[in-house]
Amino acid sequence: MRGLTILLFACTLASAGHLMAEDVYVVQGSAIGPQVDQNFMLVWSSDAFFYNAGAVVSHVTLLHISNGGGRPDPSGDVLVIPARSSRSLLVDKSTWSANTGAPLWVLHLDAPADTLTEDALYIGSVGINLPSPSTSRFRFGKARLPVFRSLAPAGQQQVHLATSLGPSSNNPVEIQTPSRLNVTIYNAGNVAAAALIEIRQHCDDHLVTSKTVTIPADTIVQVSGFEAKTFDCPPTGERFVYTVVTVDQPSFSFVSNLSNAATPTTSISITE
Amino acid sequence: MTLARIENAHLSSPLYYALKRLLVKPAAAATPPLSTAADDGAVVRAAGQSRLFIPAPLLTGETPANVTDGWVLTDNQDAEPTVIALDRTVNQVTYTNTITAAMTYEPHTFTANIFAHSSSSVPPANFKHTELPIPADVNGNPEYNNTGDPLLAANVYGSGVWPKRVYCSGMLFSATGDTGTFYLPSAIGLWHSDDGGQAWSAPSGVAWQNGGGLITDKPSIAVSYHSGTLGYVYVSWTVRDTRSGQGANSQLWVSRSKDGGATFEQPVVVTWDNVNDSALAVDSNTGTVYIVWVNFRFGDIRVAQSIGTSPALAFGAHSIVSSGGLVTFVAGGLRAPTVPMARYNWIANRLMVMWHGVNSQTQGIDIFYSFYPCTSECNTYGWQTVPEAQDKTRDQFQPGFDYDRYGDVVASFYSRRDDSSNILYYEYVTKFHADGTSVTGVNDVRVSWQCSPGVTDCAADPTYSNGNTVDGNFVGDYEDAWIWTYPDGDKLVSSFIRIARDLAKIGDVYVGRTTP
Repeated sequence: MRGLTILLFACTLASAGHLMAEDVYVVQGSAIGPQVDQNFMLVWSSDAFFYNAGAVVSHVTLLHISNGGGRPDPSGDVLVIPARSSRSLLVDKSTWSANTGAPLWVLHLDAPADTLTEDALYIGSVGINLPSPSTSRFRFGKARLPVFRSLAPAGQQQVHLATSLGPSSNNPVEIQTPSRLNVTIYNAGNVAAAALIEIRQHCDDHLVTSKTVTIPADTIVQVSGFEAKTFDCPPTGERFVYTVVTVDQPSFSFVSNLSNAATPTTSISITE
Repeated sequence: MTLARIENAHLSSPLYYALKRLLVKPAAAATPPLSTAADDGAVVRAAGQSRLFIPAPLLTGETPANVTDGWVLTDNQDAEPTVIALDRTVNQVTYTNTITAAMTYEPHTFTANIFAHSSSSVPPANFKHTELPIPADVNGNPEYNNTGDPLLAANVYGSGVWPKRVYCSGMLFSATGDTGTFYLPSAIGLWHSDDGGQAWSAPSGVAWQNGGGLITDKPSIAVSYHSGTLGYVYVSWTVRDTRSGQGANSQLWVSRSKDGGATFEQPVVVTWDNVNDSALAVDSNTGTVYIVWVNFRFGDIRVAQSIGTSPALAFGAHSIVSSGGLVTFVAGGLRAPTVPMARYNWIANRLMVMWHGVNSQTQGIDIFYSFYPCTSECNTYGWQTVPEAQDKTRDQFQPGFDYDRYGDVVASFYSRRDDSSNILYYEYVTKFHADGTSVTGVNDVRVSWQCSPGVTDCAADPTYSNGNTVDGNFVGDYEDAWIWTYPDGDKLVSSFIRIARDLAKIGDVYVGRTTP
């Protein structure tokens, strides 16, 4: 009877552990940006951090790398995190990255619910014809990338509010904080997806601009070319825009804003 | 070619005697003076050079040695390897030393330093690792934090100034990861070794800068094998003006040492413009010194030669080797600027330059070979440029090269031809005649290596990085190659970086040998 109790307890634990695991989607990237000055170019890179808040060892399993990444494919590899300990991708699972030349990729993970995940985007610089080492990945700071735990169903609108760095309008006497926005979309489907991107203004919900793009299967892309600028707003209402993304395949999306006036840099970082 | 000419050429003794036996062909014409930009457009179009028409063997490679295996710093990032080999006799026993030097990075800092790795095994193995020393300041602390941009050269002969002495030129500076680097003092140093690269001297000072936005950069070195100047050491470098909008104030300098690097003469300026990445070569027939460099303002590769026989070193007006196609990065964001390499081929009597850049036919990145004097399709200055390697489908970059006993050119380089994503690379070796034409029946050879268990060959992945990576997406701005007659035959020995993603290793120095 005692043995049966132990067996049942063990089965319950195992079952509970299985039930507690959930999908986690982490966006990672590596890219060279525009020239900062005669000596440096921007360089974007990333890392992800994990913390096991539980009392027992947790296992984070890599299920898949998007954009054809991972040669050799490390899918199935497991990151073991001791209780109440942290780990980072760059140090502990550096092979979980794409190597296809894609600037962005998605890591689909299976992680226990009590394992915290933080996704980091670093803004740095790389030297042009300068003595090495000339790459400073952290020179201009860190921004936070979203961590996704589910996909938006096909056809469901994904609404991103206040996708502006500040007010911007076609009325030059108003306060202006010009910025552009990039819309990043992951098509998790097995076939190419059509994605509709709409930029709308908060002041009256009118459409500012829209674009339809085709995204290959299992691919994350960044769509640029949007100004975060409102037009002919009524006297009241914020001069901010919001972004609506609709994809005909399972997907997720997010929006980043960059100033038109300066090298991207962060002097503040906020986590939840 | 005459017996006198090979007396001081850069050949080991077996090769020397082999050439002596082969000296039945008429001598080739000497290299004419460069046609320069100041020559009112005069065009030098030399006749084709005669060659020793001996059937060339196929290229065959061997598994390269991981130089840093078993070393305490084996997991540190390495970059920018250079290589040389020479014979050395100790107690009547002759050893062939293979020496490579590269930068090794210290994780989580902006520190990187040159380490030399020397092997007396054939094939090379069991390397001895030595950090090149940094001089101390008045308080006994290192005067600089970094050394970098190593290039090796040697007086491989048993006569001349400091026979058998090996030299390594490099930068001394203090990197901060941002513009602070340019406002700290920097210098060009020259280290030497008299025991085949195992023990190294403190550096001789070749040039200094106090900072203020000016930094000494990219030294190059050549040792003369001309009978009248055998063992003279020539070092070139750039003083880069990094201040905003001041790039065109950069200067290219050369200095000469007649005493084994102990002292250097007053340096001479070659050009004053937005320039860098020089390469030196010495004509072993005449002692003429050539310097090749990149001019970023005009987007071309230039060359000048030393003037006459005056005791003071001086350089004349420039010629243009090739225009356009310079690059800074290749696919995937890998830093790989166009950096020319130069050799003087005394057998074919040609000045030779190789680099990588944009192929205007394919818009891809390819390796280029240019030679003077040309045979056809010459540019205004008498140079002829040919894209080399037998595959032009994907990126090929950072050629190192030398010439074999027949005057043919053998080059090593990184090639992405096996990866449809144009990211992963292998080390390849190609061979061609000194006039740029292909050698019949010879195919490019891939240098294959051991990787993860059960896998005999896997590509290097420059995108791979981990927590120890300091300079991501970087394998250095060049690799290097050298031909030497080892006890087991003539070999092109090339030194290159492999980033082994399968082994979670971020950039080790490898030395591979290919039979030309």
